[in-house]
Amino acid sequence: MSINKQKKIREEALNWSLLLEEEQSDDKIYNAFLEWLSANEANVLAWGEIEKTRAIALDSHITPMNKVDNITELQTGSPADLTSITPLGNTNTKKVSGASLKWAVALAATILMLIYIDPVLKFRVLTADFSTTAGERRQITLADGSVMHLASASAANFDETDEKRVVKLIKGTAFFHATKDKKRPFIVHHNRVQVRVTGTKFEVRSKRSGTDVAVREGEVLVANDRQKTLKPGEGTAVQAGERIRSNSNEKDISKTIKIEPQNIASWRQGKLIVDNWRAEDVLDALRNNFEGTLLISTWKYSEPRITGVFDLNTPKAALKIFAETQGWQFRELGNGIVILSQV
Amino acid sequence: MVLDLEKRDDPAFALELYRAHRQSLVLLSSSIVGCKSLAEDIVHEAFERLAQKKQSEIEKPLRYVTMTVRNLSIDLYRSQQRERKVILYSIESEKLKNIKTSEHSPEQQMAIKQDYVRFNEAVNELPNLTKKATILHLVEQLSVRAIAERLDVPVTKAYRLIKEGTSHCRDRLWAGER
Repeated sequence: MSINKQKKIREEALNWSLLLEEEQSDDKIYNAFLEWLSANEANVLAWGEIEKTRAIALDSHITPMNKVDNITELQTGSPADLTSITPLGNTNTKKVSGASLKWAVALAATILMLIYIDPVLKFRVLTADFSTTAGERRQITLADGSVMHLASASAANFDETDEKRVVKLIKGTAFFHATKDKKRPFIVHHNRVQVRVTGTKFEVRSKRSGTDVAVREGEVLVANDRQKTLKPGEGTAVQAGERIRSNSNEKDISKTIKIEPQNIASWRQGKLIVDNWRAEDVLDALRNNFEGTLLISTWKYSEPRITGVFDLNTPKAALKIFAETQGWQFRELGNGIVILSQV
Repeated sequence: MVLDLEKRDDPAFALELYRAHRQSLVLLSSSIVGCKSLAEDIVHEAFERLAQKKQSEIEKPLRYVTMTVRNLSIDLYRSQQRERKVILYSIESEKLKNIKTSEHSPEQQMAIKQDYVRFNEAVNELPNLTKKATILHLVEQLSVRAIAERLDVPVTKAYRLIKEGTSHCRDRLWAGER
């Protein structure tokens, strides 16, 4: 679904939600609302979001509460001072100063980015067997004895049968140390990519552009085929010290690239080692480790690829270094909010 | 499900209402409580409540059931969150009181806590007036008219502020990564 279409549906849901509360709304309106709601799934999801927002608001005093009487005047020039914060992109044509306008653009861009999400993915993350939040890393021993390390902001499911052991990486990055079991291959799925192993150490990383598989020890088979379980000899073999990529917009997977095996899954030691990465992939990885809110303002990510080491234990400093080396602007707003804008 | 239509002044009407809208009301509820069978219990409950009213008491029956379903769903969602419990399933017809629960996993607890934190953060990001209007609307549940009076702004402006603030909070809660 296009961003605009999703935006429109969310706006409609909000309008309905306000209209239903009006005393004067009659049954014709409720009838029209129920028709709108049952027209398609996107409407139902958008409706659920707005209603759950109401539910959460009602209990939000569980954490330190916002009371109307406690609201003090905000400093001018802070982004919160702008009425143009509305994500609905409507009506507000209030004059703003040059500096404020800059913020407005930054926020508008950010909000545009925030609006586009995949509700199905979100649902799958929420219901995943294993998941990590921002800044959290977990080591999990699976039921078959294999060990899975989940990087920050990742989610995965595990399932085993007599024939195979299957991990579905829903989001993020995971490093596996699969136990040897010749009869039951260990299989990792991410989107359309399938990785098959009998016993080895390897990493699977989801990126915006596709899926990366890097092998630290042993060998794995990789294919763009999620239906049929790979057999020995099928797919592309990836050896220790190699990385392979499946781009989501290309049919075939890439050639293997040589990498340093000890650099694979370095995030387990709190280091992000990037080698010829796109800016957005680096920022995604840093964002996943950052417990605050990272707002990114850019129209188009710059092309030069990035190679370097970032310290994941101090993600804010890492973001600052990113900004300095890439010529971006780094601004800290307090409350854990960081804005990176491409100059 | 059979409605107790004895108490209704016009049973045919209620039944027709039920047939026509049951499905979409179940959708309405399950979008909030996240479970179809619970949603069906809630819709059942709403129609039972309608059946127990005299027709003269209820001017707008569809409004009555829709808002009852909505409010029950929001209440249930809140108790799911607040009590740190996950609702697994409900028992036939004794409905919403006899719900089997299990503890949230630490990850779920974290996600729930995160919701409240995020909401508060989102509200605090709003411009002052929008923030006031939003809190009065979402937290104190005042009507648009009452908010307009309290903030001394025209009703249309109050409406716009509420929309801006609510959609910002909604986007911060449900858009982007959790």
